[in-house]
Amino acid sequence: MPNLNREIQNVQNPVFGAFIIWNFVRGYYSNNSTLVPLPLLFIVLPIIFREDMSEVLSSTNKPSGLRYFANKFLSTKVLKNDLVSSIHISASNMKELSLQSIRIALYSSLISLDYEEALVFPVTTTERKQEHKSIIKLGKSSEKLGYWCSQLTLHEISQILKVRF
Amino acid sequence: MHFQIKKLILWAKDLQFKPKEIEFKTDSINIITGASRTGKSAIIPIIDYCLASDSCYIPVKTIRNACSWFGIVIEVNQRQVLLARQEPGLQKSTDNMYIASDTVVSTPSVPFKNTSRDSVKKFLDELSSLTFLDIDADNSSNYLGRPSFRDLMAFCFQPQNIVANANTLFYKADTTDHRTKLINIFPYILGAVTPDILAKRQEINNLSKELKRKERELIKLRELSEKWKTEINGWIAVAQEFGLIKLDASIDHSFEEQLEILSLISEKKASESNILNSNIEASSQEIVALRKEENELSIKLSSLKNRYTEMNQLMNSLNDYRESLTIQVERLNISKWLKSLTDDEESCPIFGKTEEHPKEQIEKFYTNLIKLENETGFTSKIPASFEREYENVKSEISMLTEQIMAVQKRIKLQSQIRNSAAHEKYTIENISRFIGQVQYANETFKSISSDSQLISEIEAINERLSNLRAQVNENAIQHRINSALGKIGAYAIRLLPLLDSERPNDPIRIDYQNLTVVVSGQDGRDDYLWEIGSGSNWLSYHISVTLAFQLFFDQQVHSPVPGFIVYDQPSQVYFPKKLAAKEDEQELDPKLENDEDRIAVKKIFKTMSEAIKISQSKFQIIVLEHADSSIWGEVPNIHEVCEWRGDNNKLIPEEWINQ
Repeated sequence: MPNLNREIQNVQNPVFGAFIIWNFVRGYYSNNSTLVPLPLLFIVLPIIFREDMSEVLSSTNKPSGLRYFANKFLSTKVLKNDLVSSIHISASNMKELSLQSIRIALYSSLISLDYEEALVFPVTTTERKQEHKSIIKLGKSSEKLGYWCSQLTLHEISQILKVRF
Repeated sequence: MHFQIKKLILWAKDLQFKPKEIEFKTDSINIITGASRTGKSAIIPIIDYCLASDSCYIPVKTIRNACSWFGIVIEVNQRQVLLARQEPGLQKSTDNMYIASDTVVSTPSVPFKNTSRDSVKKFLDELSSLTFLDIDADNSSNYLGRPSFRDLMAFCFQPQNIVANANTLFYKADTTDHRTKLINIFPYILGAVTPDILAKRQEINNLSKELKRKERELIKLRELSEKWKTEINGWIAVAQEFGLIKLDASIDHSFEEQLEILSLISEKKASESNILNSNIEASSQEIVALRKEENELSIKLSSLKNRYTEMNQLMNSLNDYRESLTIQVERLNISKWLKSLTDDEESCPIFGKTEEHPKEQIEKFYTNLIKLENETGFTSKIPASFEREYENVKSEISMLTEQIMAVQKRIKLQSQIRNSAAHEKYTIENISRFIGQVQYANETFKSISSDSQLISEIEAINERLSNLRAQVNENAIQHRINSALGKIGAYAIRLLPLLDSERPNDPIRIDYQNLTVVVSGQDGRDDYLWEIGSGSNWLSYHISVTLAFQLFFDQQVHSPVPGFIVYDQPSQVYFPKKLAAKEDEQELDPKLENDEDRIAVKKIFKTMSEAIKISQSKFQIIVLEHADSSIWGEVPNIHEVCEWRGDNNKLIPEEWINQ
């Protein structure tokens, strides 16, 4: 089905991915200017590009935090605990796309890499607001996710999202 | 489950004092010995409170006035988790909790709220890989709900009022709520009912509901065919288009009303038709609306099917580790993957070949990347509990499939009727033919008494149900329960002779329906624990049975029950009673007076040590005791945590209070 493939390519393309990853890095950095461990960038797209996860993400308040977000999937109202368990698999499937997105974000100077330490930081932190509403929404979600992750250690994130780096 | 207490932490209200930490040793017997009123008995409520109990049983006054937060560090699956909870103040309890986890977790100078009690409960449930499925899917009652971590506490604590109690064997089992729930989840805890069986029970429940619905439908359809029902809308729409009838589109007609309308149509004559522009428009709009509905349903269905496929994938890997509800995953290993992308050692995986990145720098990059990856610690298994979701998605898919089929049937019918002899569609002749068709259909459908498709659906469900029921064999479950209880009884009878009891060789049986033990005498009589006299007997049965449970859990492939147990003053029955003494004359630190008593108390510790030996040091015992090292000093596997005797040597340092 070439049409469907094209459509997926339109939505899940590396340029858009770069925008999402930059927003994640911005959110992470906004908490005491901390830098993002590179491996963490590989879990951003699997969460944001998943409609049902993205919906829960955008409806969770920023102060609630990552644990609260992950716990929502356990509740009988949402009943989607399988989504959390599948982040690891999607991260593995999407790592090519994630890498391309990271490259584009680097080339276009949205983010920069402390090469020796393998840590990432944003070059520009000003939020972009002139995009389409739905794009801004996903950007905001990604920023929130980044902020949450900055409050936790890599170890804790991997436990909560069940990802093995 | 390897779930043991590593530390107990208290934070003073006064910030100038550092938090007080009490360290425990895993896989052995930990003893806190000390005089009365030094805070020993507060240990159980503190641990329980930090493990998200519903109310705070930590004694008021001294302890609660001096502390701002209470915390414990637990060690589980090679990592540590710090759980702290705020002192509730004037409230009964508070939901403010702090959680941190790491390979070695550090104590914060003051904890802050970063989670709630509810989240911690969920965290603990997941940590112990408890199922999310209800024990009895058919019943919404709380007593038959899913097992929770809190229920398992029954096996972890033996406070003073329980440890030698004739009426209750387990912690908190003295209230009806806990008692009923505990009895209900016992088969699950014993491993006799697996998550797989619970999932099947749930499916049986869902299918039975569907079966009932279908059977009801069939009864209705025996009077009026199912096909008739889906077609009726189509017939009416066409009649409307031909102008044979005029209906207000805003009113929803019931099935019976629609039937009446249809028999009205069959009596009409073609000459009565009154073709109107607006009617034709309305009917094409209906087709458009139907197509839209079909489209929406199909999008929903395909996204559900995707999720179902993904779940199946997870389910397959889950099946290998069914007991523990975990799946094994490969690490993402970004560093290794990045390295594999470059053909040589000298180009950068992200920027490609650039002059800016010399070989040393690339090496440094990899070293740090690997360091970051290692920070997360390594376990290959991740917890996965979503049988509930799996069942839900399955039934949603079958519901949507039915809906979409109904819509498609209507679309097909309407276009069929419309497309027949399209060129002469609106002629009088065609309209007469239509009326003839309605009359014919009317009669045909009346003669059809059943719907064969529905019957075969019902048959399929029945077959699946009997298949499932055979798999969820209640007899086999009972058999497994008995065999598990037999094993526990065997452990208990192995430990019992080591203790000071009157009938050391009489076999015992765990009666889980009554949450007690039954001792079979040589005279053939079965005696319940409460029928047997003497505190020392009760104590012996409590110690041997609770240790036997831990030994049994330890033997399981995966048991959700934490591997620790706390006894508060097991030796109390041997200490002399000072009934007549006034409160201020009571000795703060009673001594064992008789030699027999000293020997009996020593036996308690020897038994615990034996249990640790049998398990090959796989669980942890914490004992809070008056008896000092002169009693248990020579017993192996014992670790003295601290001795609270003498000046300012107790749970709460004096300077925390004297402010």
